[in-house]
Amino acid sequence: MQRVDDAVERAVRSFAAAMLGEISHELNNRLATMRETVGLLEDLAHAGKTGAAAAARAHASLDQQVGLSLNIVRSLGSLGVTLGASAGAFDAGAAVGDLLALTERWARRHALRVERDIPAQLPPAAGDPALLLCLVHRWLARCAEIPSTGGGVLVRIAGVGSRTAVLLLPTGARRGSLRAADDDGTDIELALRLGAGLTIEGGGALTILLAAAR
Amino acid sequence: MFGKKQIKVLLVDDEVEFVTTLAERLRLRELQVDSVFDGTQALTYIGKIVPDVIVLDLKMPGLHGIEVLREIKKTRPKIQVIILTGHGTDQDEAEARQLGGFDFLRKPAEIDLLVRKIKEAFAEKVERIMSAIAFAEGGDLEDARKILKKEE
Repeated sequence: MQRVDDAVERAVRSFAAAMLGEISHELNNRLATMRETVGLLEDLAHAGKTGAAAAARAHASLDQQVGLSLNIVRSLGSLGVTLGASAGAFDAGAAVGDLLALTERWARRHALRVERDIPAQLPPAAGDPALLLCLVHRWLARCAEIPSTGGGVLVRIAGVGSRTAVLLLPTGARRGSLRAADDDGTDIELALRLGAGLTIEGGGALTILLAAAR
Repeated sequence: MFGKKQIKVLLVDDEVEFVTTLAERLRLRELQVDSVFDGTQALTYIGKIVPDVIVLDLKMPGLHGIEVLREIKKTRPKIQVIILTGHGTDQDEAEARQLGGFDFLRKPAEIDLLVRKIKEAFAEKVERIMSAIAFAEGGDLEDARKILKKEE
């Protein structure tokens, strides 16, 4: 029994390390983008073009990158908590907002539209919202082999028993082309142990289940 | 002999915001810049247009940057490739250099350093062509041919 626990512990740590790698990659990208944006503003000032549309765009980009970075920093703290103890209740609405922002960024890059089917009021949930975001980010990154015409992604959020389901579903021509992240479900088991419940449905849909707050 | 040629640069990175901003900064420095957002797009691009220098990220969805570099060197060896990555390992660097990558920079890189590397990469390419011309002018057509063959 002890041997099984040790194996699971090692797997959980390895999974958490992979998550940390994802977070680190994201944070570095955000910082690199901010640095380039600040550089662009300096370039524009040097060229006397501070009122240019490019400058306004740069300011908006900086604002967005700072917001994303704060989310990532929150993720780091949350992952630390996750590794040390079980995660507590959190605001599902805020987590879903972050998840939508992430999905929309990914969808924009692949010329997909994002549809929403989200109730106005979400029940409070338990688990780890940062980990949820990392997982979704990981899956979206692996789903990049989507053809380049038509379709969209439906983001559906609904109560399922004592849990809240977050569903990312390809629509139109793309249905079925969204690959399941892990055929053997290893990630799912580990993610459950880390506090973010999820299942992958047939047909390539992805359902993430957040446990209800106790 | 070549006049003042604008260096053609292709940026390959899946971070749209990053690459858009970097492209704008490089254009302000009088480089001719295009951007694509993954390795497959990069390979399609060089099938139609041949840039002088490619600035290539490693960690991207789909094809990894090392695979893209390998393919570029196989099909368009004269294109100079600079790796610009946030997560390159020492092993990646060694592999990139072995495959013929011109340089390996870590993100974020100082713009002046990147521009200098792009210009050095371009100059090295021009230098090879110039030496082929010098051989040809000296009547040594065989050596000129060998140098140019490497460029094909």
